[in-house]
Amino acid sequence: MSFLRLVARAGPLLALLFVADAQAAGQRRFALIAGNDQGGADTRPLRYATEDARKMHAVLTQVGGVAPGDALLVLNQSAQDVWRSLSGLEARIAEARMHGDRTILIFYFSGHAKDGELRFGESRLRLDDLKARLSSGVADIRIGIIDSCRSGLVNRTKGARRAPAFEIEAAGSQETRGLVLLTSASGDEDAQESDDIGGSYFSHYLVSGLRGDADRSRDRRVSLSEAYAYAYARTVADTAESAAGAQHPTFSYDLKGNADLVLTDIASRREGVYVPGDAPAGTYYIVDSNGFIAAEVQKSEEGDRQLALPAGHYHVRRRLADRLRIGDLQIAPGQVVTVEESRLHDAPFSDDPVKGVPREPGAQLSLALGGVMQSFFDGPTRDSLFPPSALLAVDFEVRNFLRRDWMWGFDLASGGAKGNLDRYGTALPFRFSELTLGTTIAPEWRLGRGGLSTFGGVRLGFVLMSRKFDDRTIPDQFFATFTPGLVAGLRYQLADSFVLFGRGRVHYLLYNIDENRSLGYWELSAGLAYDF
Amino acid sequence: MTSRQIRTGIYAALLCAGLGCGNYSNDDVDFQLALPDQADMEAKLQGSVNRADSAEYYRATRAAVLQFNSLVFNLTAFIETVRGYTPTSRNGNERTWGPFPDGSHPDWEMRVVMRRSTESATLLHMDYWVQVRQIGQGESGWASILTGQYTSQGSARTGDGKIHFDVQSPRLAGYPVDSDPGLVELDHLDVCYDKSGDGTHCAGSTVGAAAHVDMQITNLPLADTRSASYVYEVAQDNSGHMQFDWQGTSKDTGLQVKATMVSRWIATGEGRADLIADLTPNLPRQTTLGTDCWGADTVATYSYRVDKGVGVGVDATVCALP
Repeated sequence: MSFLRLVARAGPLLALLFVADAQAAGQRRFALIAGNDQGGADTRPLRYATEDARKMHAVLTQVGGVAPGDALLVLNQSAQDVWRSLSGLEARIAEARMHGDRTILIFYFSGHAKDGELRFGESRLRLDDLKARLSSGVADIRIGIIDSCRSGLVNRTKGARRAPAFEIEAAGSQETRGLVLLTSASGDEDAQESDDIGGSYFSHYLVSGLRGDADRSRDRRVSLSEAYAYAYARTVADTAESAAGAQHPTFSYDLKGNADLVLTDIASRREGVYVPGDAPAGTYYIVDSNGFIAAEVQKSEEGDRQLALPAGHYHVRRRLADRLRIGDLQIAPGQVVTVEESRLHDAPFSDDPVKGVPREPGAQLSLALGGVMQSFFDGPTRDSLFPPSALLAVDFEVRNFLRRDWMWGFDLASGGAKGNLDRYGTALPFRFSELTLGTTIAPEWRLGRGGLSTFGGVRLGFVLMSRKFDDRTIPDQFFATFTPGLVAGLRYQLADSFVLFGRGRVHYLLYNIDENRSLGYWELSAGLAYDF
Repeated sequence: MTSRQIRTGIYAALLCAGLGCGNYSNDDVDFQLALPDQADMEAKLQGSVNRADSAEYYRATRAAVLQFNSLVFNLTAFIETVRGYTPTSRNGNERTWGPFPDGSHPDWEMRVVMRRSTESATLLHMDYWVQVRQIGQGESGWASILTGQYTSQGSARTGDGKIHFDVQSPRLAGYPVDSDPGLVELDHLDVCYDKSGDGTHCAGSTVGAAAHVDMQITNLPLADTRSASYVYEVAQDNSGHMQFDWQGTSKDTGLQVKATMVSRWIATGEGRADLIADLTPNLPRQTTLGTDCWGADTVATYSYRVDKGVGVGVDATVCALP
């Protein structure tokens, strides 16, 4: 059964349903939004799980009727932490119910899942336990949204559907009660991420739909079934040609009552983008200032579209067969900006935010040049043995070679300083020189959707230090040894290939000439890298 | 270089780096600072000029200075070899260089041992020994051929030291000292040097002298020259003096002779030398045999010889020094 036929079949039913107003008096919404990039052993870190959670948190608090104080965003925390947060939220829900409020709980999770368990780093949460918890929850309506691999396992039991639309056949009370579960993939499929859209397909389209593009009824409200139908269709379409194969979201529900549920109220937030009915048909990408797609508009020939977006600077891009039409949008607070075709201009496809199959990033080489400041922690050592030094460094790094998002680097640095040794009242000036070689292994993490990332890892260095005294009756001295250390830092993508970086290192050095002494030193460096 | 040698070198470098290696040491600097440098002990004759018409005693003084510096050079050469090398072993306040094969005597080896006494942050005292032994002998076989000590005064570079160069003990231990013609008649040699600036650390030095070095040479009893000594001293104003004492048997007369030449100069280069002899019984004790005074150009301004009278000038009042 095709998508359109299913929607056509569901349409009259939905029309009969009472469309609950998210802001209706006496209704209170709560949300627990969890994201975790780590899945523990035998998994690779996800790139966008926490970012997906942030986006979901934003859309629910902006247009989803969830007060910021009632939305918990839990990022990279353990299963126990999430469980405790859920308990806390349920206590507040129970309190709200005691005050006579109708309550809705939205539980969202983006992260790893395997063998019937959600992964929160090394800790785990059984899908069955979560389902049981939500089934018996205190809220009148519990909505579970799980964006993870094989998440459809939770829907393999009663009411599971792998279809583009709800077919709610509830009857009875006007006040809907019960459980709805949405998953991003079926029980034997992977949930895929895309670097181009900066998130998982399912969450991206769910959020984009909730911002307004899923509003098929044109009533400026997006219901749960509209959002799901939209996310389903777009996820299947975009993953159909991927190497991992098509990804099919699923849903199940156990509801009593006959109301479809409005998840977002676009009209409530007079801030966003409006695509008028006479605008050309096609897909409009609304791209944020960091280059990621904030939302999409599937504009048909007839009808207009409105998306709720926070104030900010955006680009609009629409694909044609041979070119792009692009333009800038500035959404001021409290303003809905109309996309006017006359204000778009032609641009080549090189400016396209290419959408397609998820990419496994290949090994990436980069060459960096930077300055290093080095100093020993121990004062006497710093004053008379190894003085603080300035070095010029060349780094060669390869990323995604050992494993995804890991950096393996080799560095060479040379420099020196002037020092002074005072022995029994005699000042002995000397010229200190240093040559260092090192290799570093460090995982990297992106911070948000901007060009900022952080890294931290280990380094093994080799140092050759020497000094020449101005008093040439004293022979030259040298010391060579291996020195292990830790490294951490930040990288900021300035442009396509240039990266500004800053990092700190802490190293251990065993000095064993006069006596065995455990010494430590730090290094701070900054520089510019070129990514090939 | 063969690939095996390259591999060996790489392994050695890795082992060195892995364990930490080198000679980067503040403590070693102390030992190197304590070793006497040739410049610490050599004599410098103010306005030293070598010309044919220089005063006779000026030329004699200059010859004495050169001979003195030659002895200093030979003596410090023993120690200079140590300065450029990393100690073979470090043990707290003791450093040892060697044993090294003795290049002149294949059956013998030598070592240098230095021991530091860190009495305070400003006072460094160092004792050192240059020792020889026949290869195969145990620790008790080491005989000291040179013993020295150094004490810093105010700074590590300014201090006083003593060196005792003893060839008789190694000679008795079988060390072939006499293969060196210059050492055949020598019994021992003692040096005291004081570069502290206060001139109080060597016997007979002048209080306040900028530098003082005296060297006492004692030969074997049957040598023609029984003993000789040099005393060199320079004051803060660059005036100085060199005294050379000689005691032995005159080859001409077979009599015991004791002679002293005292040369003094001032910063301008003008100077005076007196030759005093004890030629008993033919002459009264402490007879002045001659006097030369010279100007800044080293040419005699006054000359007197006991057997010839005044040769240059009228009297000693023209001399820059009384």
